Amino acid sequence: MTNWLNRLMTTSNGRPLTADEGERLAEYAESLPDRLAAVRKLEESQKWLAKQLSEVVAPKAAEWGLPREALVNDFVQSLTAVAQAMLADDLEVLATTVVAPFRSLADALDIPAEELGDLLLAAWAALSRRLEAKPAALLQPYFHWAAAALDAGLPASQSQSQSQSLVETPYPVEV
Amino acid sequence: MMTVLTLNTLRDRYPTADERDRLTAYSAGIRDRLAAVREIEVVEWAVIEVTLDRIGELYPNFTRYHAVGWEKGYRDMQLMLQFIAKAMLVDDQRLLDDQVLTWVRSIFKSLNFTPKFLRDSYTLLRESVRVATKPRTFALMEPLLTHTIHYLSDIPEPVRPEV
Repeated sequence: MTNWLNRLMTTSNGRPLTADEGERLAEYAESLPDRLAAVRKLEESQKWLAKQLSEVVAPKAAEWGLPREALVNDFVQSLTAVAQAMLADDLEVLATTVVAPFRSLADALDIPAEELGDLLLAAWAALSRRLEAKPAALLQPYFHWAAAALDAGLPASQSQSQSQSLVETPYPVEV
Repeated sequence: MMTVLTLNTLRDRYPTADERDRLTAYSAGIRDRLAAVREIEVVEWAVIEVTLDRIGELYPNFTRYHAVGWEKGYRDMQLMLQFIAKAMLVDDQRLLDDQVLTWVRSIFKSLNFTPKFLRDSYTLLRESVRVATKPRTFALMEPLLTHTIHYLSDIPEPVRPEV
């Protein structure tokens, strides 16, 4: 389930939703067309982005002794996860589908996780030039949050608790 | 079926065109859904009272078997209405099934309620909601009220009915 909404449905068990809770849900629902459009844009850009990523990632793949395609694929998947987190307005998705696997990868490669965060931001920099203002504004906080979580080297559980501040904002504020 | 509650289960894929259309339609109707929830909250007491009165007429022996049956019945129907309204708000029947119908049906079975009693009771609830609410609210609530009737009455006949 979408974590914040699931919590809202559970914690309001046996009582009506408050005005604030109802408004939170309504504002989120009304933001869905913009969120879906941003996801669609990302989906349409995926092949282009894979090419861009290939160039960004190539030197690091060589440095870390990894097949370039595998690393590019990891990043393409992470972009899908970022899009889904934005769509669900749910940073916990990022904690489990981007931050935790990238941290495991960093541990396996014995490299600082922030290097993967830097690559994520490089991917975002390339992507953002291709996006219009609204989808860019929606996606940007999620890329920055994932990179910051990797940079901070937080375990996934702490990454999840950090997520509350953004999760409670229907439209993520620009970082 | 993708709903707003299950958006983060997409994992490694993007939403399909159908899913996008469904979510966009949901977005457009959210204020109606929220208004319907508020309307249900306002009429809740009257709806339940009328429903229980009519059940009492149909099943006059009910209190012989269940001394505090009406008090519990009020609480059950209030809980059910709230969950039905919330499931309608998020357009997700599974919320209703998972969080209330499954365990409530088990309890009703253990109380030796008959399928007909449950079908009658929740059909009366649906009718009371229809009478008490605006057509738009009832249209949003009706599929879940009907689902509740079918779900709860899908139990075997008890050996010793107590209704």
